[in-house]
Amino acid sequence: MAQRRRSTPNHSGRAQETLRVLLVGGKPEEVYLLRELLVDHGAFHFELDRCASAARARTASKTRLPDLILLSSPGAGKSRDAAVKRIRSEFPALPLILLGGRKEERFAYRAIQQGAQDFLLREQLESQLLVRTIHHAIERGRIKARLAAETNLMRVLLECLPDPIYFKDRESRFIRISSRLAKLFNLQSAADAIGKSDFDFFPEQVARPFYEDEQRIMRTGKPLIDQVQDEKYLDGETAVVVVTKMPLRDDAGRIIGTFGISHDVTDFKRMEERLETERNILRSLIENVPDVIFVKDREGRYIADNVAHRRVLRVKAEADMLGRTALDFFPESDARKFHEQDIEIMRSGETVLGREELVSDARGERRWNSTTKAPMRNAQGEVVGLVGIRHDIHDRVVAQEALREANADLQRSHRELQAAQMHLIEAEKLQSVGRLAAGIAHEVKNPLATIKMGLEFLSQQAMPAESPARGVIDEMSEAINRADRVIRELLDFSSARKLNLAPVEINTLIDRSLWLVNHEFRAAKIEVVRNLTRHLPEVRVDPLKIEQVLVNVFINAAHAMPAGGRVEIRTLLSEGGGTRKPHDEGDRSGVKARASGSAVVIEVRDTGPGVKQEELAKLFDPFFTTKPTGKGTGLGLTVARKIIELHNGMIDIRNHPMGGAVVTITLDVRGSKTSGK
Amino acid sequence: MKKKILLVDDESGFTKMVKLNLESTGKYTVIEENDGQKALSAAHRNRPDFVFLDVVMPGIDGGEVAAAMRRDRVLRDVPIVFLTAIVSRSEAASTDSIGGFPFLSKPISLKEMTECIEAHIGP
Repeated sequence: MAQRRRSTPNHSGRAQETLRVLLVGGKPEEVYLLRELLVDHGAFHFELDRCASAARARTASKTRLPDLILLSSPGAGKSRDAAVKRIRSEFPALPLILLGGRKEERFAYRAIQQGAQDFLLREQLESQLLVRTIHHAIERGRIKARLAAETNLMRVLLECLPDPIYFKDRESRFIRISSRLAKLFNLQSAADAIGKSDFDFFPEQVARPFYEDEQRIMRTGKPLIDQVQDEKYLDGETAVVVVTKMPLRDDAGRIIGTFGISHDVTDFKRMEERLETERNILRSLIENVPDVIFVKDREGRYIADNVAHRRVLRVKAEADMLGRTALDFFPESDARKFHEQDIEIMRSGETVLGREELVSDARGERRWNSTTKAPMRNAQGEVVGLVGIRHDIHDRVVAQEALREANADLQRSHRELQAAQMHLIEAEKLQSVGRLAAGIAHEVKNPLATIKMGLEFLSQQAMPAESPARGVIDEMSEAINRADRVIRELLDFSSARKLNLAPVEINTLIDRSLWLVNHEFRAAKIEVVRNLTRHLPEVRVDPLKIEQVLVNVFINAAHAMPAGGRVEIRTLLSEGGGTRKPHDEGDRSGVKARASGSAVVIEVRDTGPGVKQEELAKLFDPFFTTKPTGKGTGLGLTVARKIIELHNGMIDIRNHPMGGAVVTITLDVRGSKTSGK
Repeated sequence: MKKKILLVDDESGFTKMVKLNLESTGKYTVIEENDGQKALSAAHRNRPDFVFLDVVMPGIDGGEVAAAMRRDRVLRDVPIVFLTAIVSRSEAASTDSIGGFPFLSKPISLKEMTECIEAHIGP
C-alpha cells in the first residue's frame, strides 16, 4: 500500500495528518456542507474533492489518490449497487462510506456486505460523527491492509519454503503446517493436518519424544535449537533433520503451543558420514603404517604427521610437531639438505621418488631411508607444501652391502682359486711334458748315440782331405749335437724338481754365470755393465739351478742383440715388498705374492728390440721361441720359471720404456722351500 | 796285450759302432752283449778288464747286472761305468754316480769313452 503520509504543522506546532476524501455523487452543494463538517480534528486535517459519479472516480483520483471514498446517494435501483461494485473493484484498498437517507438502508446493508465500511444517515450527520467514522474507516482499512500483507507473507512462507514448518497447540496438535510438511505427511492440503498430531504421521517411538520435547518447551519456555535427529515416517522413509522448536506465545506472552522448523540434511549427513569414513580410513592408514609420513607447508613447517614420524623423532603428540621445522629435530647439515630438496620440489612441482639417503633418528643413529616427497597443491593447483613418506631400508641396505662384500670376497676367492687351478693345471701339464720328455729322450738318445759312434768311425776312415764326404760327416755331427741339446733341455725341464739349497751370495752367482757366457758375449760384441749392490743378504737357493736360469737369461739377451749391444745387470734389496711386484702385461709368474719380507732383486736389461706385445704372454710357454730354428728349444724360459717358482720367487719380463727387454728375478731373502716337489 | 772291454747295451747298433771305434784304436778288444743275463755269462767267460753297462734294458737291467758282478768273487773288482740316456745335464752336474757307479751320458764321443777307460784302468 503505497500511501504517502502528508503532514502539515497545525497551530499548536504538532504535525497533522492530511486525509483526502473523495465525494462521489450527491448534489454539488453537499460539498459545502461536508467541508463545514470536516473541520480539522485533533491530528487530522481533511481535504475534500468531488466527482459526479462512480465512473468518474478514477479520473478524479488520478492526480490525488484519496484516503477514503464517500459515496452519496448514487441514483436509484440497480445502478447504486453497480456503483458500489465499481468503486470496490477500482479501489479495493480504499475504505468506502455510504451517505444516504432512511429509505436507502436496505441498499446500505447490501453495500456493507460488498465491502463498504459504514453507512451514515444524512439527516443525522454532524461533524464529530463524520470525522470519527472517517477516521475509523481509514484505520480499519489500514489494519486490514497490514493484515493482508502479513497473511501473504505467512502464506508465502508456508507454501514456498522447502523446509517443513508447523504450529501446534498446547496438546501438540497441528494448527498450521507448511506445504512441504503436508507433502511429507502425504496430505492433499495443509489444512488436512489441523487437529492431528505427530502420532498420526510417525510411529509411536518417534512421535513420543517429539511430544515430550514440545511439552518440556512449553513447560520451561526454553527453545530447542538446531537439534539433529533421525526421523522415520510411517511409510518407512527415514531422514536426518536439523530441528528448531520454540514456544508459541500469544500477544500477552502466554505460551499457547509450539512452533518449529526442520531442515532435511539427509544428503548432507550421508555425505558427511562418507567423508568421515574416508577420513577415518585415511587417518588410520596414515597413523598405522610403519612408514614415516609428514606434511610441511611452504616454509618447511610440519602441519601434519603420523605416529611413526613422531616415534622416530621422539615427539609425543602431534601438537608438539606442528609449526616446527626439520631444524628442530635433525642435525643442521641434514636439515639444510632437506630444506633445499623441499624447495626444489615445491619449485619444480615434481615428485621425488624413493631417494635413498642417510637420516639421523632421535638417538643420532644414522640409518638408510627411502624417501618419497610430492608437492601438495590447493584447489587452485598452487603448490602449498609437500607430503613426504619415508621408509626405513637400513637393514636391507646393510644386508645388501654385506651381500655385496660377501660376493666380492667370493669373486676374489674364485679368482684366486682359478689362478691356483691354472697353476696346478700348468704344473700338471709341465709334469706330463716332463714324463714324456724322459721317455722320448731315452728312445732318441740311443739311436743318436749309435749314429754318433758311426759318424766318428766314418770320420776316422782314410779319405781325401778334399772329399765332400768329410763335410757331410761334419754336418751330420752338428745335427746330432743339436738333437742332443734339445733332449738334454727336455730332460732338464722334466727333472727340475729337486733343489739342493745352500746360502749363496747372489752377486757371486751372477759373476759365475757371466763367466760361463763370456764367450758368447764377446763373440756378439756385447758390453756388460755390472751394477751390483754390495753386501746383499745371502739367499738360500740351489746355486746350480739359479746359475742355469741366469745363463739362460744372458744367452737370450745375447741372441736378442746379434749385432752387439749392452747388457746391464743390476741387483738390489727390496725391503718389505717381498716378492710383490707391480703387475703388468709381462708378469706371467703366476706365483702368489707374499705380503712382506725382504727380497733380492736381479734385473737384466738388454738393448735389443724388446718383445712384441703379443708375444709377452707366451714367453714362458713350453716350446715357444722367437729364435730362428736351431737356435732355441723353446724350453729355456719355461725351465727358468719353473726353477724360480720352486724357489718361491718371481720372474717377469717387460719391455723397458727406453727400449730393450728387462728380466726381473725376485728371490725371497727368508728362503725358499726347503725341498721342492 | 789289448784290454778286454765288455760292452752291454740292448741297442745292438750302438754296441756295433762302439766296438768298431774302440777296436779301431788298436788298444781294445770289445765283447758286445745286448742282454743283461748273457752279459753276466759273457763276463764269467771272458773276464773283462772294464765294463760299460747300459742302465735301462729289458729283462735284467744294468743295475742288477752291476750288483751281481759286485757280489761275484771273481768279477767284483772289475771297473763298471754306466751308460745312460736319461740323466739330465743339471743332474749330471750335481751328481757323479748312479748307485755308487760312475756314469757317462749318451750320446757320447769316442774320446769321452777312451778317457773314461784310461781313467779307470790306465792306458
